[in-house]
Amino acid sequence: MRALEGSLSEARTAELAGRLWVAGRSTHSLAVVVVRESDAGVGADTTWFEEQQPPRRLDDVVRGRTTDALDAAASAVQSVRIALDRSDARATRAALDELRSASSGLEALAEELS
Amino acid sequence: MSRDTESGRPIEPGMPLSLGLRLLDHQILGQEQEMVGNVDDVALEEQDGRLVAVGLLRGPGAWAQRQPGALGRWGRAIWRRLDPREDPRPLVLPLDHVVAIGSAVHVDPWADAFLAGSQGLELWLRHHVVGRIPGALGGDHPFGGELASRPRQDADLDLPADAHLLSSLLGARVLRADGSDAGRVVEVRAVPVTRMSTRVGPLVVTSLLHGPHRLGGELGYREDPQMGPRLIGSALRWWHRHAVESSWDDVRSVDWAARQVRLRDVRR
Amino acid sequence: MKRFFAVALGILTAIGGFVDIGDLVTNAAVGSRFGLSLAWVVVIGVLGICVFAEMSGRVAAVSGRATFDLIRERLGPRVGLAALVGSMAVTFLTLTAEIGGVALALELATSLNYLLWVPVVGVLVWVVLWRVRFAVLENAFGLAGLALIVFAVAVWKLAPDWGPLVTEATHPAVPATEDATTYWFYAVALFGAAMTPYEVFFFSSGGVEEKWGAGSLRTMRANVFIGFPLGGLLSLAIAAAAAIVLRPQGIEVASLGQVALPVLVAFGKVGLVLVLIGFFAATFGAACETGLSVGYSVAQYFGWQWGKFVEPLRAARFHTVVLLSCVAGVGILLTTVDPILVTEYSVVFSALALPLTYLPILVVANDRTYLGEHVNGRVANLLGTAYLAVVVVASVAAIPLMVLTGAGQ
Repeated sequence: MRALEGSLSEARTAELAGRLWVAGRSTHSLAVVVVRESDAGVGADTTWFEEQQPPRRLDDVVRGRTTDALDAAASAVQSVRIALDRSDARATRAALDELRSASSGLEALAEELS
Repeated sequence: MSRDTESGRPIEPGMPLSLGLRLLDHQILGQEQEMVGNVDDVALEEQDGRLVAVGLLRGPGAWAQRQPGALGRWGRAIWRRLDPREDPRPLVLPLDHVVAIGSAVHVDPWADAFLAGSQGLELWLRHHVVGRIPGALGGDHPFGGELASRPRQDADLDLPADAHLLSSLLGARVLRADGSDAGRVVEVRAVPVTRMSTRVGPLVVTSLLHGPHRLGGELGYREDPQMGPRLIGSALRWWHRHAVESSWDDVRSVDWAARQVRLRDVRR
Repeated sequence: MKRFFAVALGILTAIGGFVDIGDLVTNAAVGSRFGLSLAWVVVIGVLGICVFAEMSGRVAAVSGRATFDLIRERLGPRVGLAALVGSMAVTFLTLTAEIGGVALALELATSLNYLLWVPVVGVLVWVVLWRVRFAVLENAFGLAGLALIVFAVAVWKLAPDWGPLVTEATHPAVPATEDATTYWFYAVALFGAAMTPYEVFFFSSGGVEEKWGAGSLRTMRANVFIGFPLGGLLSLAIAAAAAIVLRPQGIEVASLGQVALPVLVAFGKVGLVLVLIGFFAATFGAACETGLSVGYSVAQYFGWQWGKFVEPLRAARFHTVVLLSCVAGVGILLTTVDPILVTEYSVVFSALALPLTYLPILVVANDRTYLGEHVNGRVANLLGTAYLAVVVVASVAAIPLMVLTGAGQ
């Protein structure tokens, strides 16, 4: 649960920063720094989650879904970061859309589990 | 004089002075508000049956003595190691050099110069560290830069081996003539030996305040009954309600080594 | 007319100088998780710092004694030493956090890794403390810090509906998404961020630096009673901005970049420039203040000469302490510890260190030997005693809450 909320926060931060840059409302440096941090944050959350042992066997299914959702978010944030590093607006927009759906996935899963 | 003796009420000559509250641990200031140390202790001398405060101690030797346990021992050991003299004694400044006592202790120009010149750590740092950094100004100020480190030839300014300290008296156990416990010394009150307008001079101890609790005695509430805030004031006065002030005449003897004060049999 | 400008300058400097990295991060984090349900803590904290700053400022102005002087004098050399070690540790921790904050602000501006900036900032802070005059230092960073007003303007621009915000602020309750222990942990953290001990050391020592006298009392009170609360409003604006923009998205603030995002949403690049200037001024100014405060505390305890009002070669021990602090702060940051984490610890430990600092001030502010007719009136004593109680409660609760909540997780 913690991992989901943390990653959701990071993913949404990255998305916000990315969209601000694309819309010309942010400098490149700030967007890059924020997205870089979010990337690291999601990665850390994913790693942390993977290291946790599930308490009961029934949670394996849930664990699997969570890992999938986290991985999707992680790769989406990474795509945004890569596109942003290259200052490629078009690629960033595409990556941002991918990120949005990944975040929604995280949010839905978090709500379902709470 | 100085800012603080203007607006505050400086200690009037003749008024009994609470040594723990008004003298001990106060800032020492020179004529132009230079800070030359803190009153780390007060030297007391027995003269003709009276106990007289004769000087202020200042410096790491005196300060370390007031720290308990290991900290005090290490402090003293380090100080003795670093002091260039063979058998260093803490520095004592005679009270003749104290000009006024307000919120700080003001000393005369001679003492000012002397204390400034005997700040070992300060002088060392000026020479070896700060002086080497570009842009270090202040070398030509009378008390700045390299000062001739005054050789402490004058043995009068070292603490004599048999001198007594205020810090041993404060907190000492007080016993009545019949041996019963009368608490611990909370405060020591003294008046100037001679009234002088230009300096304070030695102070003769007039009374001891002692009671079952030591804590909070030096916060000043006993001295001024009006002092606020009301809640804290009443709480502290209640805490010290059993404290008694005994005149020095009622003291038969003081065992400095054991830190005990024996009172005379007061009943006639 | 000249008088008016002097007073206005003082007030503006107080507003701009009020916020530091602890306020920036804690208020934004609280806003993003709790909305304005902890706004009452900021109000209480700001009033508290006003009460004690005024008292310590009055003591400094009338008697020329700065705060740590009084702590040793009233509490004795042993308890005073404990207080010294405690508050030096907290102030030093805060200094480290501030240097980190400057480096983070520079990273946001240039995208160069903050670790590269840390040594640069450390050197810059020390050079400023070595060479720049006290008044210039205070005024420059204080005024530049006014750029943070952009948060207030952003809130005004972005707030679609004031109703819910105001309701949340005036009817404090633990939000559904958080639990009570975390709520109270952040209450203590926010309180510690508002009532930082170094502020009182710095304010009173600064008064001696600037040679205040009994005649300066009115100006000092204007600075405190107008400037500080307005500075507190800035803190609330930062929290509100985070509440409006970040909270609906589920974004929890854990980095300085996230603190800035709401302003970018409102104003784009123009806002960004102002925010970064504000961040830099607030953190750099606070780094200078905390650096000096470490020196002030040690020097005042031992009775050494201190201050920028004397040349360096008259206060070598003071300047050495300041230098060592800057070096040590940089050293700690270079171990790659997260500056935001250091900030979080510094505000909690600030709450811890408050009682021993404030009690002597309250006592001395009543002592007629020092202040003559300027002793505390009934209002000051009432508020002072009440706050002493609050401060003790916060201090006692700080560590248990930190342990229970894992520092706010």
